[in-house]
This record gives sequence, C-alpha cells and structure tokens, in this order.
Amino acid sequence: MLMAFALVCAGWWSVAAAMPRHARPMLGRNLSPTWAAPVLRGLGAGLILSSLIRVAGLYGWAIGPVAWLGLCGAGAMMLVPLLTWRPAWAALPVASLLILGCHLSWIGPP
Amino acid sequence: MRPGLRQAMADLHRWAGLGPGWLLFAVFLTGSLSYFRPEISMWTRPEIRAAEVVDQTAALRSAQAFLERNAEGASRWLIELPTPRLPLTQVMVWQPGGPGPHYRHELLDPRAGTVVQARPTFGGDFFFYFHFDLHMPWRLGRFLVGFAAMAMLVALLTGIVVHRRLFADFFTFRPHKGPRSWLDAHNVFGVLALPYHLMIAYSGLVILMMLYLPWGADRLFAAQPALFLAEAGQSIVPPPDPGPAAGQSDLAPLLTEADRHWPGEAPGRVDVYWPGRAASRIVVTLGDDQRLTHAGERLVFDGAGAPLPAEPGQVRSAPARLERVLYGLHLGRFGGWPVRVLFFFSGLAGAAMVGTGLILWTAKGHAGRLAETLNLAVIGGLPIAVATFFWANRLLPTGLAGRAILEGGCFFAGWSLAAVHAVLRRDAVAWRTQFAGVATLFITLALLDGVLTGRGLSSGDRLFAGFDLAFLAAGCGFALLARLCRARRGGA
Repeated sequence: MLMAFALVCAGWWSVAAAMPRHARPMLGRNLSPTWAAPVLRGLGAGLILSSLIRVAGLYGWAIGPVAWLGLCGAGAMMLVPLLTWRPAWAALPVASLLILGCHLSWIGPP
Repeated sequence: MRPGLRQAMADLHRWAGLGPGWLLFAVFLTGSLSYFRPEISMWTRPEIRAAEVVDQTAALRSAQAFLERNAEGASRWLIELPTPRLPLTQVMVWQPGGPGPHYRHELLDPRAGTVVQARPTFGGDFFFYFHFDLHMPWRLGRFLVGFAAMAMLVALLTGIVVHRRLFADFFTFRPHKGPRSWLDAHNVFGVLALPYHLMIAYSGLVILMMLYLPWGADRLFAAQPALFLAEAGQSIVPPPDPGPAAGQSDLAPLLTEADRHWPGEAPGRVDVYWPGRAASRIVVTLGDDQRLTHAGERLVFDGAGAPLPAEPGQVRSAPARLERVLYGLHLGRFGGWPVRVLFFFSGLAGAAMVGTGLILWTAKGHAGRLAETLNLAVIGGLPIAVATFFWANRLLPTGLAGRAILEGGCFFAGWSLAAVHAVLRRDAVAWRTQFAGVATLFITLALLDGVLTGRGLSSGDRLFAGFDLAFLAAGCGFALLARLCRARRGGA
C-alpha cells in the first residue's frame, strides 16, 4: 500500500513538473527540450497506472480501484501544499516515499 | 459553449451549494466520523476491555442462551456476531404484544453472554444517525439530508462545468489573495476527491430511495411492503403463522455450515424469525466487511437447522445488485483500515470543499450577516459540538438517569453556545476564539483521557492511544487554523 502511494505521489509530481506553471519553481528552470513535457506527463501517467495495478494486486479488482482513487486524491492533496510553499523540495518526500516503499516491498514485511 | 450557459450554471452552482451548504458541512463531518463507528462505540465505553479475537461459535452459543432466558415469545431475534473492530455481541429482539418494550437492543459480553456493564451511551451510533437523520422526529431529518444530497449532486455537476481550468489548476493554490485563495482551496478539495464526492452524494440518495420515491413500490406491493424487500433481495418473508411451540434448535452448528459455503469469510449476523416455534426460519448472513458489495449473501434454514433452497430473492436483478454495490461503497466497511482512512480523509475533504465554498461566498462580500453568522456557527461550532460530546462521555456521572440522551444534549448545547457566540461576534477574532476553543478541547482531552480512564497513550492500549493521537492531531490542526486567522487579521 505504501509503495502504491509512493507511485501515485511520484506520478503526480511528474505530471505537475510537466505543467509550465509548476516546472520553473519545481525544477529551477523552464522545461528545455520541447519533448520534456510530454515525456514527464507520460511517465506520470505510467506511474499512476502502475499504482492501480499494484493496489488491484493487493485488494482485487473490485475494491482495488476504489482504494486507488482514494490514494490518487490523497497523493495530490499532499503535493498541493508542497507546490505552494516549497516547490523545489517537493521531490524530497516523494523520493523518500519511493525508497521506503521499495525497501518495504522487497526487503521488509509486505 | 454559449456564454449564457456557463453563467446559468454558475448561478445554479451558487444556489444549489449555498442553500444546503451548512447542512452538508455537518453531514460530511459526522459522516466521516461514522467510518469509525465501532471504534467510537468502544472508546465511549472505557469500562469494556477489548477482548482478544473472540470465537464466533462461542459468542453465538452464549447469545442464544441469553435470548432463551430473556426473550421468550419474541417474533424475531437478531444476533450481530462480534468482530475484531467491535468485539461484542449485539442482540436485537422484536416482541410485538406482551407487556414489555416491543424492541430491545443489548450489547453482550461474547463469552459470558451477559449484558455488558458500561456507561449508557449511544457511542458511534450518535454520529452515524445524526449524519442522515439529524436526530429529528418524523423522518424530517432524512428528507432534509435527502434534499441537501440532491442539491449537492447538482452543485457538483454544475461546478465541473463552471470550473474552466479543471486540469490547468489541478495543483494550484495561491495563498494571501483573498477570495482567489478561497476559490483555489474550494477547487482543490472538490476536484481531487471528486470521484468520492459524486459517489457519496449519489449512493446516499440511492440508500434512502424508497423513502424519497416510494410510489412505485407502494403501487405494486401496497398490501405487503415486506414482499418488495424480499424481491429486492434484502430480507426474507417468514411464514405468517408461527405454528405451535417446538423447542429452539441449537444455532451454533449453522456456523460450520456457513464456513463450508464461505471459506475464509466470517458470517456477520444470525437472524431467527419465530424463535422456538414450528415455523421458525434461521438466516445466517455474511459479514459486511469483506466485499465491496453490501449484498449480504445468506443461508436460510428451517427451525430444525435443515438448509432451505434459495428463494427467488437470492438471485438478484442487475439494478438490485447495483444498489447493493452503491450501499457498500457508501458504508466503506471493506478493505480494512487503509481504505477506511482514505474514506475518512475524502469525507473531510468534502467538508473542507463545502466550508471553503461557504466562506468564499462571504469573502466576496456578496453575502449578508446571516450567512457570515451561519458560517461561524457551523464551521466553528460543529467541531466544538463534537469535542463536547466526547468530553461529556467522560465527565457525565455513569449512574445518571437518561445519561445517553444527555450526552447528545451536551453535543447540541456545545453547538448552541458556539452559535450564540457567532451571533454576538462574527469577526476574525471570533473565528480565532472558536478554533482555539476546539483546539483546547481536543488537546486537553487527549492529555487528560489517560487520567480519567487509566487507558491513555502510556498504557499501551492501541484503540485508546489511537484516539489520543487523533485528538492531538485534530487539536493541532485547529490551533493552526486559529493561527492562520490571526495572520489573516494582521494582514488585512
């Protein structure tokens, strides 16, 4: 579940970084090559979808999508204050969540 | 799109949202608390030491022994088996005719089969019933909440049309910009939990649809309303004639049968129609915390415990199945605590969406004094009422007559006090006072609860520690809001 949440957060981060309004405060510069935005957006969509697959693996395809929609909302809700007040640091909690998620799902208890 | 349409939608959004907004805020907040209904019911009865996992068969046996001693001649027994979340047996008894009350509800110790010794309280049921019934007579509350839910559905759909930059503003919040900031917050809380908001408003209406739109079923099933519920797959129709007395068979072996039908899934309740009579029917229903749908699959037995073939209602039509799925979605009992926590925060996001929308309206300067007063009385007042309820549960003497009702009275008294304060003063200072009041109530409760019950953070009691932490978090949240009020006043 934590891994799924980390994937959602990373996905939203990536989607936000692809938006012109957020790119500069988040990355410190404008998105330079023209293909960077679509790539980030695609990456974000992929991460969020992979989270759906993960949640459905945990809960099955009846409860899974419901839990996943809740996770999507929670992940985005966490990102909003970060993008408002500390946009450049937003990557930090997202990355730590990902590392923790990977650690728990491959090494520690599931 | 024609320019006139968006303006029309904006007007509709405003009136559909503002009219029932204050009521919706209360429904969202108490509804969110209802996701923790069993936990609140345990916390409000600190005398009960939560048992370890209870054997359902033993619980059923002790409940049957209790009912045979205390509910002779009843027309129906309903036994809710203990679960890890509410490790108590609940029994409900219907006894039409005879001298005693016609309906009784008792909480039993699952091992001893005796009525639990705890302070009288409604516990989590108080918030659960408030969120759709408002504790009003004649089902008035249910109609009010129904109108509010319908209006909310309209407000959501028109809101999507009005919100021009749904994706461009997905993550956008611009602080310190007056109404602009409130609009951003309103959009964020609305859009990010939009699937939840749509689901909860629609499913809430569907759950009570037979109350809101009874005419079709009335026409077709006027003589036998119970037959409609049976055909919709929600209950069975017991034989009309109870027949002669014929000792009640042992219920416990039926759980073995249930385990054979639903391996790995625990049954939730056992219903006995005409207990101890020849025409008795026993219904074992699957627990409601394992599947998305609230279908309540069941096994029906005759009085001797022999399985009966499935009735027509067992095979449900597609609309009946959809209704059960929406019911299950609204209750959110599946998926364990991670899903419950997500539902809880989605519900709070709903309250925040409504609250920011109401404040936005007054921040724009269009609204009158009444709206400003109501905003403070509801957004500041309801959390005060909730905290008062929890405090009353701890402070009212346990032997007091009508204690459970008085706890509810304290909830409304706390709310009224906040409302009077809001009438007298409704400036930024008053907001700060109320938020600081909520913060104080919650933080002191978290700190003093361990002293009052001996089951605080330090005692290692998980349920009580969880509540203390939640109260602390709520208190800190409201303290932050109070600080923000001060900052806003200093800035403006």
